Amino acid sequence: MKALRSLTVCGMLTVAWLMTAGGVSAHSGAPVRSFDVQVGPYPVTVNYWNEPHAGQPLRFTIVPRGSGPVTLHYQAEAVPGTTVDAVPVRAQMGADPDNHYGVAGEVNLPVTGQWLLNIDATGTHGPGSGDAPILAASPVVMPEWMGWLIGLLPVWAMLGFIVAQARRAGRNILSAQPMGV
Amino acid sequence: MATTLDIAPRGTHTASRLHFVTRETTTRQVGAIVLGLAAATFTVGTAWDIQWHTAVGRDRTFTPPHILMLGGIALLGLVSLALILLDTRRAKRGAGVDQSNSSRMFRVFQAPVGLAVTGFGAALAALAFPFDDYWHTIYGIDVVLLAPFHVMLGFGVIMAELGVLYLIAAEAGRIAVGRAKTAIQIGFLTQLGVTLSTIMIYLVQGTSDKGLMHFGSYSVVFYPLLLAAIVPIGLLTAVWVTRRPGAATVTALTVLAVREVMAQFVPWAMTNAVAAEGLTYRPTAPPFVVTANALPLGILAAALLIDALYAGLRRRTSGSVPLLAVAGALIAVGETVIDQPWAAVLPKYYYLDMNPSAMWLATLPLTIVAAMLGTGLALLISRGLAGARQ
Repeated sequence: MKALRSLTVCGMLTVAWLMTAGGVSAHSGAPVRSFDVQVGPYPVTVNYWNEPHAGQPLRFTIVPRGSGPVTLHYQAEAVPGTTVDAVPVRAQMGADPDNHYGVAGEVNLPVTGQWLLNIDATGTHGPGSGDAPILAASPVVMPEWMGWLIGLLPVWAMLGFIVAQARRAGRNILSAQPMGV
Repeated sequence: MATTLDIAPRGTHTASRLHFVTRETTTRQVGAIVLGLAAATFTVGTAWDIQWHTAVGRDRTFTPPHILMLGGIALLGLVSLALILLDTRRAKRGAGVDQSNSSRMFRVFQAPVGLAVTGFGAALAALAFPFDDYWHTIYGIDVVLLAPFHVMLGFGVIMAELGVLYLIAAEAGRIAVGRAKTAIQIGFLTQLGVTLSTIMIYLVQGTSDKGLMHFGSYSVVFYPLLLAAIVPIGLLTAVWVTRRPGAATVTALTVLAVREVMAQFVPWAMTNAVAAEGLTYRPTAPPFVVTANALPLGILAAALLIDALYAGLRRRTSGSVPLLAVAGALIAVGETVIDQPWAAVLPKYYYLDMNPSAMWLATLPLTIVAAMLGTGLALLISRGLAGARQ
């Protein structure tokens, strides 16, 4: 009964973690990177709240700069550089709890290398577009031979099992018995 | 009840014991059906994923096809674990599970060895997913199909499917004759067809920009090599294990049924998922189902030939196994002549100066070697499956 209760609690915590993992979360402290970007007629500051790492989401905010024209709507996507084998990834956007006119977003960077955060904005002065650079850091690179060593585990395991079972069954099993499986 | 009469007598069974044995067999059969469906889900999910990669591109780990594939893997793992626990419990209670129909594992569990293989295979496939994600972060989204962790993922599931085949074969092996045996044999052949379909997915690489293999200045086509190895593994195993003419055809028909499910499901799933996510197609998106090339129609012709040969050879008292082995290998090589989707795709898109006939001829020596290796593997697999009882 105790084990069942612990299992239920673990399950609920996992579900809660999965539910919150994909959402746009609030940020605290100072941004790790900031860029002043001209998005058409709209000057904005793009803040990154964590170091961009491949395989991890990048949290960012877009905040209007100065007393320029009012921006009403933003859309953003991460566009891979020419040497990066990837497709554009759309960002999840939401209101920025710390800035009434800003937005907070999160975008997944699936591949190592140079990306651009492409921002489209629409406001009182019409639509505009601008980019902020991203350099997605690579994780520790596993040598290819090690990749194959791990990747072929099921192949070796299967071959071992097949040979062991064949030995156990005996040489004449296919021809000696009148009835098959 | 027919099923009770079909149980092979092993020692002295009481009426109540027979009842439990029958219930055990039924439980395992139902389990095998669920496991087979889980494996088929993974295979169809993989076809969808290959289309997704080519047409849209992988933008995160949990894409819709990945979720379907993971669902299949999770079902394989959880159902095999549940069946192992159930059998262990029954063995402790003396309720029809013993050394005659199961094996002791890790001094704790008592269950058919096939279920353990399925569980391990599913676990390895699940483990391959984060590794694959990591590999993509380094090498990009268009990593070839035969990359380390794609192999681990696919062969993890193939291992799980092999376990299901052992589970079914052991059940069929304990039944002497009758309708129940025939039903289990059909289940076995259907599962063999699903397993064959999963292996054949790797043929997709043969119709891609990596369709040629280079050994120094010597180039060969990948597709016929793999096809010649796979065909005997599936079709010869079918007749050798069940010893019934028609077995290879049932297996081939299952492969074609999986192909049809893919042909119907993949375009529908692509259209709906892409629209639901508001994604755009890549400029290189193919207008056809990519994996259709991996499950070629010619497999039916090869199966019919193998069945006809088996029907002719089975009355022989000796030498039928080596004769069928040689014929099976030759039929596999012959199928590489019938099924040449690579000859239409590679010179048109990737290797513009390629002469398909010359390339096929250059590949022929290795194709024969591949067919022989496939036949040898089919012999080993069949021997183990035919002798499976626990």
